Amino acid sequence: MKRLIVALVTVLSLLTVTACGNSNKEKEETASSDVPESITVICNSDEQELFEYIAEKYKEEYDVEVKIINQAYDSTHEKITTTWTGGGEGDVCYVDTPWAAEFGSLGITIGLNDYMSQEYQDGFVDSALDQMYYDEQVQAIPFANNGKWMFYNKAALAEAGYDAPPTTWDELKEMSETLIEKGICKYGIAWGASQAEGLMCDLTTMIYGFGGSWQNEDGTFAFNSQESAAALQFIYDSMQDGWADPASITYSDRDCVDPFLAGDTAFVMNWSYIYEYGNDPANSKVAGDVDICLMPGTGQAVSSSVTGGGGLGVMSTSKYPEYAFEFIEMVTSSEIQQYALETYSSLPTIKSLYEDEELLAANEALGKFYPQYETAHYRPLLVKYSEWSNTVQPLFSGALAGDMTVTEALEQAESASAPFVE
Amino acid sequence: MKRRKGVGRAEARTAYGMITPAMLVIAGLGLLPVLAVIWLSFNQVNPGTLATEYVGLSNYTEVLSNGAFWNSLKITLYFSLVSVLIQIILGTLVSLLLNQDFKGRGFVRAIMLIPWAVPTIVNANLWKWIFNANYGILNKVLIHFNIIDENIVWLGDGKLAIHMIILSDTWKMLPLVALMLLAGLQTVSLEAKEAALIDGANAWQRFKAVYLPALKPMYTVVLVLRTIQTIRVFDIVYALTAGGPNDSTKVISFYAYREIFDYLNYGKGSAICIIIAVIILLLSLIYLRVGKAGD
Repeated sequence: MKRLIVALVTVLSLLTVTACGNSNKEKEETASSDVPESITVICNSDEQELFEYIAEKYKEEYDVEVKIINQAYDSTHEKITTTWTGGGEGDVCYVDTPWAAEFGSLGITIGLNDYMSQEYQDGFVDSALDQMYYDEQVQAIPFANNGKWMFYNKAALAEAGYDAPPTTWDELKEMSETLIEKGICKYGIAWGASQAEGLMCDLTTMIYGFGGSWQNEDGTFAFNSQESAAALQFIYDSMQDGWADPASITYSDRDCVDPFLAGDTAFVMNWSYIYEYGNDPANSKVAGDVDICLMPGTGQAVSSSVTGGGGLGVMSTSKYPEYAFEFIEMVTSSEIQQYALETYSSLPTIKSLYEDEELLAANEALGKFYPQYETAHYRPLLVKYSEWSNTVQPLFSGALAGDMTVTEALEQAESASAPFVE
Repeated sequence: MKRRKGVGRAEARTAYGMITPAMLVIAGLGLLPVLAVIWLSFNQVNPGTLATEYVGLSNYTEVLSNGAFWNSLKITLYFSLVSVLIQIILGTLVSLLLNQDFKGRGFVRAIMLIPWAVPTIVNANLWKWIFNANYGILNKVLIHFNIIDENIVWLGDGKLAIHMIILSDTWKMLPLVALMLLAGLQTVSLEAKEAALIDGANAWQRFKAVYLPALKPMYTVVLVLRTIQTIRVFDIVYALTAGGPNDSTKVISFYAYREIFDYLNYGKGSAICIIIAVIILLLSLIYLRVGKAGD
């Protein structure tokens, strides 16, 4: 009996291991003519409310439920890849701007060129759609145009005697020192300097703002430069000199908002949602005083920011790609884009809304946000962006924490980046 | 005699029959995934098609020749050694205290479990706020009592951050260690305690002669259990520091997590997991051997 059990267990083990060896992910035949009971959308928690609103409209129109799986941004990439690899439920997925090449090369998302009419395609802001290509196929449709802006507490600045926000980083430094001296704020700014993707976004802003760049035109890396060193040194010195929050090294680009909303800092670099969120008394002690300005510049660049936002792609494991694309079309419709703008400060990705004079007049913020796009830069467009970013993040974060010099960090990062050149 | 043998065989067959379902479940949920990971570690896996290509030991040589792996291993072993040592020492003291007869002992023993019952991710977020340089209570208390002059960025310093994680982990796991050791102390007979007192032994002598022999078997269990748990640590690191600053808290599980779930390197990630498992197995065998030798 004992031998029988041992034999049974061994056979089961061998069968399973053999099955693993021979397993290939076979695409199931999609029953595209069938109507699904539901589709699944994987997105960030930032989009949850908006997508729940859209899900109701989708249900009304197509009689199909929309299941929304959301998590914090920093967990979304793994959620998508594990769902896809494991064959889990996923029809539509969030695609951050640097992920399009990765998802396209792995086959996580399908090319959408055949799903889009030329008119639909031409309706998007060029810079928004351009980031979503891989191998000449659109991998995701941009649904939220975004970037980083400088938000500031206009009441605090006024109290310190300033009637306009800073236009250069040196001015921001000077204003911060004055605000601290007068006891108006604890610090001028808190950075999102911890080892996370948010740091790469902020470094994009700073490196380009100081006249540097991530890549040359041929795709080789160009960030090991005096300009980039000046940018990193500026951030490091700000914490050492005490006019920026020294705890910034532990903040993600979401955490650094907390001191701003508490009134402890007067400036914060962040995504567009801060405008509505920061002016809502339910979230903020400085509600009513939050305003936007262009990112400060230097003698090298008038201003600089990073592109963001993201798109929605159709997962290759979706059994109902047409229905998945219908959801994306709904998200990117003029009506929903306008709703998202008015409710969540989510900036539209379709040109027509930026040309709508009535909308511009009714949404003062839209006019304030738009100019920054002219100086917004991409993070490196790499197939293995995620791996590259996680490789260099500790080095840059380490330099800002003082574990190594800025020069050492840039040199090590350049060396570590060599295998990722495409 | 023949009839007794027959009855014995029948009983054995019944017993095996009864445990077969459980063994199948253990094999399915425990053994099979392990075998699958071992197999994957010898292969290159296409994340799209899951097609595999046998590559022999090249995943292992790639991992073992990578400085990042040794850095993570070093951090993990340090975390494990220090955590386990602190928890055993403190756990011993707490268990000795809880072994005393005092009013409300039952209540204290019960509420002691609360930290252990808190989910790890909740525990990590709780401590993240405690350690917050500007708003955390730790800095507030230390400044109030003039122990420090200005806020310390506890999780922003590479040398400090790992110790803050040890502190958070100790707060959560100490009750478990203390209760396990307390269980060991229950085997000490009243006569042995009284004899030691009558003989005039001081506290340390009583501990060595009476309590330590009872604790030794539990020390082996705690050492093995906590070593396994601390080497596998992941969630508290993920929530508190995400491996930073500058990878100074990037423990081996986090390193494996990145390889598998971020970079989709299933073969290499599996090799890392097998290496971790072998290290844990070796350490456990050493502890068990030492524990047995001590008997």
